[in-house]
Amino acid sequence: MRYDVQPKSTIAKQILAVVVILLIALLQTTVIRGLEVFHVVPNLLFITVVIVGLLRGDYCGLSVGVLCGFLLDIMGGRAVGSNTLLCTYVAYLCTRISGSLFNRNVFVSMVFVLLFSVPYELFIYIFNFVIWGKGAWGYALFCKILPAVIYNFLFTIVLYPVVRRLAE
Amino acid sequence: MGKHRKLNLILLVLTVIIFIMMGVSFAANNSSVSTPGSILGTVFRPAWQFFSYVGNGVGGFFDYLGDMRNFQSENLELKDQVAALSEQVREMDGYKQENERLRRLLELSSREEGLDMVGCEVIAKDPGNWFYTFTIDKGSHAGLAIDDAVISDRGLVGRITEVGPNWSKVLTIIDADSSVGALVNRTQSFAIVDGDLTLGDHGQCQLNHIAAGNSLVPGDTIVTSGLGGIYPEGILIGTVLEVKSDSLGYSQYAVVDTAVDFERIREVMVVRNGR
Repeated sequence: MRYDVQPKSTIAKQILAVVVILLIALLQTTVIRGLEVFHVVPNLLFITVVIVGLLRGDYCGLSVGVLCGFLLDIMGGRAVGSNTLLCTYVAYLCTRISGSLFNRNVFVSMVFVLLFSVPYELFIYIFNFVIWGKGAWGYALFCKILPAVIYNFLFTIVLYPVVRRLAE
Repeated sequence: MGKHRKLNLILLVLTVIIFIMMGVSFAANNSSVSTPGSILGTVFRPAWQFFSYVGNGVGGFFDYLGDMRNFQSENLELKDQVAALSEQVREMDGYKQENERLRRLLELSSREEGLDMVGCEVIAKDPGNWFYTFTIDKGSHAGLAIDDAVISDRGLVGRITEVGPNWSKVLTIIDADSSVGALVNRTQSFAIVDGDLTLGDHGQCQLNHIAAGNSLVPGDTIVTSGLGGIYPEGILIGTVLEVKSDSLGYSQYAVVDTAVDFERIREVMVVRNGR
């Protein structure tokens, strides 16, 4: 007889993964503000999406993308959707790229965090400021996007060991 | 069905769902909280409170490290100041008594004006780098409602944009989405204080729609006008830092340095307006 029920250990791991992501979300809105540099903080949830997407490369990566994006939307208190959409697509691209990677280590994750942070931050800026006529390109690029991208890139070193265990 | 095709199909379904979510969210115009958001906020509240204490500690530690270099020279200066301050302490006793008297008068004045205020604590900040919002530890159970004004002991902070049972989200006046009816104290002319992306990081806003013929000077005090029905009249917003003209030179605007220090804000008061 074949059962489609997941083993208890898998369910426990999934629950643990959700709890860890919720914990990361909590850190994002509280403790991480203490690490502000040039008025910018790293986006822990976004980094998590990229790392899990690259390490898992399956539906798990996509699910983490949806969950992290949704949490970013809800905690930001803005219209729900923009972060969910972005993180879902970043997770999707990471899962597709994952299959072609020979090496999955912290440096690969750092490079992809760097690459995906640029369009992510740009989209947030365009969606929330430019289309409403509140854009300031010079300031946005050099005082917001660039520092955020560099900070995400560097903070991947700190977050990678934790997220790798989560992905395993 | 191949794995990639299945993944593409899931992505398509997710995209449609997210666009529906976005549509619903925009239609609601952020006036009410989605059920998942409300539940999550309620569940997160104790953890937010705990982590905000930890976060304040972490921030304080890094501030301390940054200040280490200046400690030695500051120490010498402080020794000189101690001598001068001892003299001032005696004077201060007199001021303290006066202060207590004035405080009682102020409280009386607030009650007379019918301001119903609730003290709240800041428990979480915006997760991103673009917006200036934060979460406080009281919500609808404490009688708070959307568009209630939020103030601190220094001046105007912002207004409530979302309310959960035991938490609320506050949009600060330095956020690009914020707009406050203002009054220039010296000239008694009306204007609008708008949040600005380039000024928010420095705790500043822009004073726009200044009536023609009203010349502003740096140092002018800006208070709330009370027009619009959200913010009570006469609450300090900040002082004019510099006056500028637009690119065509037709109108002027001013940069306002807000009275509130938004980076170190811990406690606020919400003015319940009973909507």
